[in-house]
Amino acid sequence: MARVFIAEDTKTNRYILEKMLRANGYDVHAFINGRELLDQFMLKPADIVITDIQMPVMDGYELVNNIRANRKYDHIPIILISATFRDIQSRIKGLDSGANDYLVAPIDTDELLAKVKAMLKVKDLYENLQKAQTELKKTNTALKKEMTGRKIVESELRESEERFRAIVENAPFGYYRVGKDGSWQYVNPVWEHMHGLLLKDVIEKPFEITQPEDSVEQARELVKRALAGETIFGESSRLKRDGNVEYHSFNIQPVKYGKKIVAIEGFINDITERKQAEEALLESEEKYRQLYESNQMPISIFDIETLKFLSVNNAFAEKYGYTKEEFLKMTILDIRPESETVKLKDSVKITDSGLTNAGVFLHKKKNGGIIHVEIIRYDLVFEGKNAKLVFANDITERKQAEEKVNHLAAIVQSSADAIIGRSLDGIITSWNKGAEKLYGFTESEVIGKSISLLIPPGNDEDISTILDMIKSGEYIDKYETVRRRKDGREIQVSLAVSPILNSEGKIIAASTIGRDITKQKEILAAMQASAGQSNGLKNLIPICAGCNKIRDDDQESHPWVSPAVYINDRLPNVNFSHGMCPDCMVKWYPDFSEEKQKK
Amino acid sequence: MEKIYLADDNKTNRYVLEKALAAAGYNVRTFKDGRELLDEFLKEPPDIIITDVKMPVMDGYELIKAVRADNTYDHIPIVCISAAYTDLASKIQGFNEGANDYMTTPINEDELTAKIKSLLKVKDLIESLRKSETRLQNEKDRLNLLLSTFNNRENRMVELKKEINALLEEAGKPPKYMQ
Repeated sequence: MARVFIAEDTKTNRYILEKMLRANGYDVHAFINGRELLDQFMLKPADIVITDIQMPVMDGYELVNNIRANRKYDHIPIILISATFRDIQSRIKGLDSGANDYLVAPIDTDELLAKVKAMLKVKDLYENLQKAQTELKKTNTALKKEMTGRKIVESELRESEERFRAIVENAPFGYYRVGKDGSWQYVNPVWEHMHGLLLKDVIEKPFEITQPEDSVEQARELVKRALAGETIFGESSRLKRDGNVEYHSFNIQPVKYGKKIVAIEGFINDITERKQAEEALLESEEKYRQLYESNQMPISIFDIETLKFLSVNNAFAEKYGYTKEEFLKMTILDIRPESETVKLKDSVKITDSGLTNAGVFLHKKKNGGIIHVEIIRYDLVFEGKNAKLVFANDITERKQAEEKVNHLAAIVQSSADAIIGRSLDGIITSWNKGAEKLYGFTESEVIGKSISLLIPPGNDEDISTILDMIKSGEYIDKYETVRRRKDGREIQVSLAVSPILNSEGKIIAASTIGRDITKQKEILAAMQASAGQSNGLKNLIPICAGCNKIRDDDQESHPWVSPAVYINDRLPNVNFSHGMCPDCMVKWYPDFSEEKQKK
Repeated sequence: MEKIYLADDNKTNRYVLEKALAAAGYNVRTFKDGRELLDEFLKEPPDIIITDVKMPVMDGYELIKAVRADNTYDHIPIVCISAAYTDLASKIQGFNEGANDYMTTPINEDELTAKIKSLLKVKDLIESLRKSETRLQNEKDRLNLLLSTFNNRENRMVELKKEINALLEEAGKPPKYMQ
């Protein structure tokens, strides 16, 4: 609602004007003189001022002057009304003072209303313009502020654009740009090198000129798609003149300014080496896979955290009797006896550096059989998990063989016969209890010493004779000779010497089994003596020609016994005759004994 | 020098007014009827129009309607002068069509000049506002254009930077089989 200020000192006129304007929808404020109107005007200006000229305190001219004094109110229409000054001069003075119209009483109210309306229209026009301008000024200030910010961004952009250009120039990959019309706009040095073409060779020429004939259509299609806004990634290969294949990875993308696509650009990368490496890797992976799968050694991989099997090879599955599928549901605890659990858990905690021999463990097969397994481990990451690769070497048989050897060694050690081991150059390497008893030396006294320690002086050729025989691979059974004890006493011994062969069948040492036959020799000597002295054949006792055993006639079963057993108590009362024990009979005359058995 | 278009079918009146206004320092062009004035107005608008109401071919009301039809010219003041239509209804119609003043004969030349001065003052105010509006509008357009250019360039650079970084990263990585 437009605010109308009226100043009129005549009450009646004021009342009529006020009533008329209010009836026409105006917000009317009436004042009794110019001063009062002006005071109110300064607080909140009116949209239009209608004022009488002749008034006390402040007249109409003065009021107009006061209002117009502020340029801000230039556009506010003022209508002067006068009943007194009707002459032209006054009217011109009124208009000149800044009023917009000068009416003379009596006033036609309709004309006044039409004038007020016309003036307010112009005023609104002005104010709307002013408002729009204020808005614009505000917008522009904001825009300018934004621009200041942008100018900084712009300089940063320019900088990064230069950096981008430098990157593209020096990039380790090819960069290119093709205009909307399909002609080359830019290529970087790497691109030049890859294609063997220079920028000046291709610039402004159609992109097809660098495409191999067979892929021109494909390239056209890609360019079309990129110009339609698509970003494309791809790989391509081309046969080089030297017969090698070259692999490239590339992308094509639209270059946009705003929403408009103005060009396409992209990168191209030589990935030949990578491709070749990938192929080589696949090949070597296959090789290793085969090596793993078909290895005779049982191999498995298990997760250190969960102890679950991650993979087992064929030999492993076969060794333990489970299928591979079963293994993948099992942990390594499932193939151990319970007694080994703690040892295993402790062992798994250890980090191995490189191939590590973790020792021997007991493993349990599916059928319950326990095997000794030597574990060789290797830490690795398998399928993203920390794992151990395990070579499981079944050493059960070796273990058993070792036990057998130990057993034999115990027998040797505790044998009554003197058993000596010696190297080919005559150094004593082993010495059992029997030897200690026979020769009087303890083990520590002789190990590492020469066998000649036992040879009486003057019998030196003995050694070389034995050695020669051994070297030729002969077994020496019953080699009778003389040996010297630690106390210097010489004894008659019967030696059995056999060569010791290594795994390749080569003679590397010899073992000698010695037996004291001093007594036996004495008996024989006595026998020979008595045979010479006595003529009668009474009390003849047979003595075996093969093994010198004597038949014990005093016993009902007539066993053949060692002369030593027999002679001691009965020697003086007997004469001997030749005979042969059944063992020697079988040994010497196998035919005879068979015939005998048949009979 | 402000330009005044004056339309009056009465030759004497035309002559008197033209002389008076020219004497007051205005550049006056006179026309026999509304149509003639309007034709010239459309070619080159004046600063103010003074028109008789009763005229052949095109009367004052029609002329005002035609001038006010275009918003561009709603600030150009129009003063009606009439010897024939002095009644209130005619005056109100004049104002309603868009006249800024309506004077009846006899016309005091000095009063007319004072009114013209007053009207031209308001007109100048509005024109200067319009002019600066145009200037501001142009500036706004220019700033907006610049901003959108910046924005485009910035987007493009951001994208490029992203791609470059992605590629550099890719190039710096060991091949797939080594990862």
